[in-house]
Amino acid sequence: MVLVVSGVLVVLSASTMPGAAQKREGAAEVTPVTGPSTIRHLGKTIETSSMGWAGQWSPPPGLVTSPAPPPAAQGTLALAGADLYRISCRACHKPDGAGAPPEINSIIGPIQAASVQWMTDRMKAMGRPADRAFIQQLTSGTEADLQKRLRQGGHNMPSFDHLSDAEITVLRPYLDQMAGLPGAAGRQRHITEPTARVGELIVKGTCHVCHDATGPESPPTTALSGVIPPLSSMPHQKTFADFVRKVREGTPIPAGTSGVWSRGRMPVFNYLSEQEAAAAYSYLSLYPPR
Amino acid sequence: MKLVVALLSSVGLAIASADGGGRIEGTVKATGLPSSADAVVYVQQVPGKFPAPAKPAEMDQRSMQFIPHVLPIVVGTTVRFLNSDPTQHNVFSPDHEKYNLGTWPQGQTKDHVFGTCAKAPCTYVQLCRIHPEMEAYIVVLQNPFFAVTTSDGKYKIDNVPPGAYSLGVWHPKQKAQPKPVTVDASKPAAVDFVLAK
Repeated sequence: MVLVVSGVLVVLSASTMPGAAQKREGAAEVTPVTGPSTIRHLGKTIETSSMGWAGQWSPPPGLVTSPAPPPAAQGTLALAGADLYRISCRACHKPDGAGAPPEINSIIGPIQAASVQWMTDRMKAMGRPADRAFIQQLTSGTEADLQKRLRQGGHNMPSFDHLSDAEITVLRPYLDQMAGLPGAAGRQRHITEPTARVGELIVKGTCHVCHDATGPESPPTTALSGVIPPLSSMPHQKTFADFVRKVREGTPIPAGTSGVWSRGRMPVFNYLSEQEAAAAYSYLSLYPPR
Repeated sequence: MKLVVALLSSVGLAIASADGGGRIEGTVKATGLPSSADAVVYVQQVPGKFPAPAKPAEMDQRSMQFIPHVLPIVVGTTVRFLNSDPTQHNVFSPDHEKYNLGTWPQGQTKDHVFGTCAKAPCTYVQLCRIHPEMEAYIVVLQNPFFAVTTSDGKYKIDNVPPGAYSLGVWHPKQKAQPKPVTVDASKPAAVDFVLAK
């Protein structure tokens, strides 16, 4: 399948088509997004929650940035740890990992506390040096807690069990870099992913925070009434180009019966590249939400 | 000092009846700090043995903070650590015999007995291995004649057996030398401290 959006060519190879998805070494199986959104699952509303709000209200067009697309083979995208954080974690934990306490915890403290060197230095700075075995007992416990929380979720945090071990291996050193741990910059890695997988990660890690997988389709006139359209409605309610523009820049639509133009309540995810937004659309088309 | 009153009245200690003791009171001034709270004023040594209270002392983990920030206890006291946050917490201390109590979820508690203290005060910093911004102190003392200052620096220790003592002060960041105090049941003894780095 070949789709052209604003000059961006997205090629989806047969191996990423439904039914043909196979577990390959280094590649995770792509599966449809399912179930209620994170905020619905938690009984929250977008008015009462900071979750998913790292996107901004419509910035002036000149400020909409387009990150340089990473080099990759046709039908794939190369993702660094920073990219995995951006598409999986940033919508809630914000660009710097600080989150929105108390609803969304900062990731910085726990990441620092999982480092033997950081904890050793901290104990020394407190005038309470501790032996290595004791420090390791503490940090290994914190690392295990972090990995468990990522896979199983927590109080407000959804499970990110859809991330593969290979992806977590790439993401994890970036968290160290965000937390300012020495030497982390030299440990950054990347992973090459099929575009459908990238789309899956974006949809599951960002869109699904607020949008249910399925549900009654709502016309654009209900955009101001508090209805968040389901992900299943995207491919046939929006063209490829409209979807990408809506995600990255925001698009005014006639809302309500008066026909007033509004860009609705969705934040603008101008930190997603055109290719990434396109990958999300393709994924929703090829793997219909269930 | 409710704890002390409850302890003394419930176990009926012979050495200091609730009405036979005296009061020590005063003000502790922390230099250059916005608050003079969290200083522990304590009688360094009182003859006799002081059993730990039957009821555990409590330290809560709430809104990513240990509450209270400073908790003085008599040696042998059990401290019950409660997690009130919707996230896992841990408690550990690198001090003295050091301990790591593991993690537990909201609503659950874990007990730890502070059974020894060779030379009071024995201070244990309380840390959470998951949330490094959290910090508190447990100060283990020889006897129950202690108080923690309020934000204006005031303290009051009641029911102290009459006698001559050395009055110590402990603060997480600042210090001051102990001062002599003579306790008389007929009138309160006034002792002020000025803390500095």
